[in-house]
Amino acid sequence: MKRILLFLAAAVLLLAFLPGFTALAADEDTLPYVTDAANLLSESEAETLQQKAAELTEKYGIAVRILTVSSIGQNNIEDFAEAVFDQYHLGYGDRNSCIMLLLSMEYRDYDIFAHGYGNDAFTDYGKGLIADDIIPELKVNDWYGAFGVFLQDCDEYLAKAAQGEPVDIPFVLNSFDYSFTDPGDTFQLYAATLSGKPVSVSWRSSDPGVATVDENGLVTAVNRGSARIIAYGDGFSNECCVWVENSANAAATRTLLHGVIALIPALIATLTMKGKMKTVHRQRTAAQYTGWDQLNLQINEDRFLHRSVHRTRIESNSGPRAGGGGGGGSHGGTSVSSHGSSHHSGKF
Amino acid sequence: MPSQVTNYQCPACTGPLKYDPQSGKLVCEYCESVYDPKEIETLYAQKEAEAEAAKKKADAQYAQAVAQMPEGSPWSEAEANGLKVYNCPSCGAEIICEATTAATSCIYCGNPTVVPGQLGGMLKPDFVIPFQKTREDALAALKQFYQGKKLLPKAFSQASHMEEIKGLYVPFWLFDGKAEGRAIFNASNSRSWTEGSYRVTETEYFQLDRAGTLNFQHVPVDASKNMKDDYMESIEPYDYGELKPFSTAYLPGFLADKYDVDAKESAPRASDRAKQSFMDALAGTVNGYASVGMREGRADFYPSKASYALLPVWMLHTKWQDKDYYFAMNGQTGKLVGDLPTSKGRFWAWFGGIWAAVFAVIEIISRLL
Repeated sequence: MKRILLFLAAAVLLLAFLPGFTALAADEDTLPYVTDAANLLSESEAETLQQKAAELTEKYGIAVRILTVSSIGQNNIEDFAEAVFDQYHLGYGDRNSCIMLLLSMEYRDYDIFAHGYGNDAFTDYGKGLIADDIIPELKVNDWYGAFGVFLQDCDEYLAKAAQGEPVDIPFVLNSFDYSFTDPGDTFQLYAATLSGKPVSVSWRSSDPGVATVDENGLVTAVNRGSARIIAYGDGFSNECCVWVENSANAAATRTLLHGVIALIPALIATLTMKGKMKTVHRQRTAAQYTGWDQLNLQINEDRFLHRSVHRTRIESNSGPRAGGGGGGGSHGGTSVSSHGSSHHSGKF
Repeated sequence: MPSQVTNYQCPACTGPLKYDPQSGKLVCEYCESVYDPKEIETLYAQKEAEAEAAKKKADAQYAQAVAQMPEGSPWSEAEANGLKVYNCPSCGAEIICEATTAATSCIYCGNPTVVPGQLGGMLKPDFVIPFQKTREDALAALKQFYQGKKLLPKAFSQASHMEEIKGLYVPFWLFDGKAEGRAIFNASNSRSWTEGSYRVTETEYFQLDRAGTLNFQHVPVDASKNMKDDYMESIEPYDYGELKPFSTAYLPGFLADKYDVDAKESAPRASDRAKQSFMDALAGTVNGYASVGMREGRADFYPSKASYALLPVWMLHTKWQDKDYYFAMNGQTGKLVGDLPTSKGRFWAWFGGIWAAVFAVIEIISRLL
């Protein structure tokens, strides 16, 4: 144990002062599932947790780990987690799967790190819930309590994931954003679990002056502007951004314009009919008493005078109307970095 | 030095001339020719004088032509015996008819007391176009005329009643002559293309010069004060293919009106129409330009001959709701003209109907888009 601690301290110092991660430790031995370099636990506490972690690892085929260090130097905790994972081959199985709770005591940072199968079983939402579970204990320095809860959650989540239903957001909406053209237009929002089962939620509009929503999720456009339609359920909220293009006045103005335009053909038609009623008029010309062949042209000249050239700059149209993006709407799942890991980090 | 009121045009290319204070000369903006201000003044004064002289000459020529034009010939004795003349004491009209026909009332004012008069001193017509359409044809044409007039009050065609139909020969002067003149047009052509982020438009300006003559034959002018000129012009044209040398044999059954406007007085009307046709003809020779405008133009008409002709007309007089409506039908071609009343109710009904239909269509299409 002590040997490992020494090596770890050396590695930490190296990591602190050297930008690159060298392989000076060269120890191919992987770390115990519970590695308490920050000395937060007693021997027996560590032993109990180690046993539990090993059990979970065997049971679910994923390395379940807890790692505490005194300091991570100038590094970002997520980068540090990935570096240690690589350095010490903390993954298990073909996919190098891992779920790890990493604590750095110097500035009280934590990271819940997942790799391989861990990304599937522990979604961003799931990791957030686990963090919510352990932070109260971490805040009061109840290390054993916090880690116990961590392992308990891992057991629960891995069990659910094994059944094909990893812990994820309670529901998603059928649309992240929607654009209405006119006031009065409607759009139906639904909430359902990620597997498609409908969920009953309560609805609210952030700006009823722009769009309203009824208790069944039917959104009705009211006037020009933007608003968020928020759905609440299971202590979770998800939302859809809506835009209304035309103001309530615009519809009326447009109808008025149509009315005015329609006057034109009506006027033309009736005035033409009226014109037919008057057939008596003077003749303007004597065209019928001569002929083209009788025109004798004595001068017939076309003379070029001058040329003028005019340049105008073409205005390019403004880019496509901004309106994309899902705003605050969540879609569940796990965002995985280029390293292949996902994180949920913060301070305790 | 006169105060600068007009813009002077470059004699070479008609571009605007600008005064250059440094050199004291007028410089053309387009072709950069340089002129002395005195030069330009003299040129302009000269132009004005020329224009005036030309106008004087033309006027004199016109007067001469009119004075010289032959107009009709007197009656022979035998012909004079076959005709009767009546005077109307009420409106002053003079009616001629063939000896066997009687005129019982004035064809214009309806006064039944017409007084026989003398034929003497009157010109014999040179030509006549005989009647081809009968009284029945005239009535049928009027019925036909009412059809398809959507704004005619419904009652009109049933409730109006014919007051009078008469077939008469209306006197006309038929003018032969030559129109002569000149017009100068400004024209331009444009084309546009894109160069990088610029739209380039190139416009070329031209000046077009046209001058020439145009001959006219038998331009008709109504020679009777009593016959409404606009009605007579509206039933034109007559087919002069049927124009026959005059003979009293065509008169029986019809009345004729003696002319009371002489050729000299009628000539200006023919002149106006001929000059207008001439200008149209000159403008018609301009092709290949996107935009054309006449800058200046002058036309004159010199009549060479005025023939006196009697042309057939059916006059119909109907009354409806105490208002008089007159219709004239060309006695040769059958063309009928006349002003009909418009029903306000029907007008607004049609207006409203079309407006509603178009409005509905626009609304539907805008919803679909």
